[in-house]
Amino acid sequence: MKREYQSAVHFKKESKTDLCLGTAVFVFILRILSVTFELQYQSAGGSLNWFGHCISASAIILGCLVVFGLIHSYKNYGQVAFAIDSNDQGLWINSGRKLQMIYIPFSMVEITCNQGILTIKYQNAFCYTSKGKLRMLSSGKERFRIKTVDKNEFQEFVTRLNQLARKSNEIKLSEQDLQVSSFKWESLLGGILLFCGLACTLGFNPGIDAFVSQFIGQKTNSTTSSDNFNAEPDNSQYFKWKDLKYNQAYVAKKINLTVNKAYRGQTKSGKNVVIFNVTLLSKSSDSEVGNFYMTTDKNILSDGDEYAQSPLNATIFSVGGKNSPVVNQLDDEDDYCNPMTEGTGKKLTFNVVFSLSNEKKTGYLIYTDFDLQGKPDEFNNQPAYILKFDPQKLEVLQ
Amino acid sequence: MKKVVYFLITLLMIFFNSEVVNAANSSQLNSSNLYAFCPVNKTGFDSNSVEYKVLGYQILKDPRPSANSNARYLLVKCQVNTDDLDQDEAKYTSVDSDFVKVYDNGSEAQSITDLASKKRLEQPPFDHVRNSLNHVKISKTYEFDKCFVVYPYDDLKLQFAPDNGDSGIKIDIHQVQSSNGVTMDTQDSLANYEQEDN
Repeated sequence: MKREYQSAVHFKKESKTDLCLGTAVFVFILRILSVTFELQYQSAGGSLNWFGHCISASAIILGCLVVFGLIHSYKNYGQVAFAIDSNDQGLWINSGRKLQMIYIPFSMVEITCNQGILTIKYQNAFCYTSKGKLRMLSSGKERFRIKTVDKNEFQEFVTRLNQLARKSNEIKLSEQDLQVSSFKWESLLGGILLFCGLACTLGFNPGIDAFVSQFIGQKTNSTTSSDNFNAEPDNSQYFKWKDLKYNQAYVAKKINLTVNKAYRGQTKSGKNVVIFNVTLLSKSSDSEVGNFYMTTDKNILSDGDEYAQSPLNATIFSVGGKNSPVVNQLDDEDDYCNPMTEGTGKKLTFNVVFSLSNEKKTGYLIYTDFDLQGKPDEFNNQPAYILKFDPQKLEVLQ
Repeated sequence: MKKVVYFLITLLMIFFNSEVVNAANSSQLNSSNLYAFCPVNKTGFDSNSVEYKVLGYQILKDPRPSANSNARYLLVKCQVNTDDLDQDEAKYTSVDSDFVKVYDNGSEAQSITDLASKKRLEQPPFDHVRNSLNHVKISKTYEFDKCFVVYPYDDLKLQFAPDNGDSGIKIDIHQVQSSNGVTMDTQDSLANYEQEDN
């Protein structure tokens, strides 16, 4: 028994679609992991915890596996996958399990081909040990994807094998088996996965940022912060822009906001105002009411607090010619009571009034627990909401 | 059958325990005189058999909190009586101000003792406003007023709970009448008040 082959079938270069699929799967899984990580990161209130470390660790392991797989497939390039022994008595197979060529006599082998995968089952096989001695192996199975080996060599191999082997071992190879890959939609799937992964990556930058900073650690944090020294902090991810809808709960970590109704009206001194009847539902024992602002400035987050109006105090409306005070109005000074500090499940309904300088301009009601140009800390309620409304569509109090 | 009896007894207990009393209109704020004294006259005991009495409350015309033109001081007149204490008990008894609380739109109103200076609190009408009573003597009646910053146009409730373990009784000081939820209706007891004020 010598290692002399005939009708040898070599591995061919990994095809482009395979590489594409591999990369796509890699990007996609990386993305899913980093999104999960990001969510965890946010719900933990910005502090890194064990889960984040696990995720990043598993991402590194996954990355290593993919790189290893790619290297392995390149290493295989040009090597013999399987061949017929020069004595016409058996097969030589490049075993993935033993990482070397093993010999199987024809009498102990069973070869099947299904969906582009060649399965070689053997009762016994032989291989050389590192010292050059012959060793017998117990039964096993080896699989090859037909796509990964040279097509012409393979056809030749099959013809030769069919001549030599007994009838039962004959491989019935149709043209279809040779041409169609194991999975018809492989390239399409690869494309979709790659697209999803890339879209996610572009769509959720904070996640990948947090993810990358996990890899690189504190060093990057310090450089980025010095880079951004003169730039305004980008805190837009902590604010959610929505259209104002009545009776819809705007959910945040500690407090849900619901706008029950909004009206337009005039105060007794003839000033145009807009009034929001809101309900806050506390979900945490340490929640605080937070701040309401109104603005007509779309770029409020970069322009800052000075473009945001604070609520009015002690407003008296003129309704039907009579003076009518606003009931349960939020006191902007917040010095008479500390609402919401009494535990979870507490509901608080009150009215917030703003002056309306221009009825034709789109307005934004802002509800935030932190500065418009700042970032939330772990005690703040987040995200903050910016609710868009059209003052002209509001019901008028007359 | 047993279960039904238990259920009925539980129902009865709940019924008797919920002493939420809606005070008659006469004791609520009203337009004719926002600053009139509204009598309450409720009495209760704590676990040390100290007697507490809420005589009534009053919105103060003067002085007023400075921050907000709608804000007013609400003075709650109370008394603490130690007739039922003996000498030994009196040594270990202290009285704190938790027995009366005022809720402004569901949130606890701020007490003036947190806001005003000590000197301010020594002068009328705040001269009986206290945070606590230490070293009580037996058979004595103390004036023990409480004062809160409130908004008369809000829902105002007074909670009288002399015994700490008990939720006590709640008395409506002002129940807002509003059909749209934002402005006061004309049926509200304070609806006409605004015109006459200032």
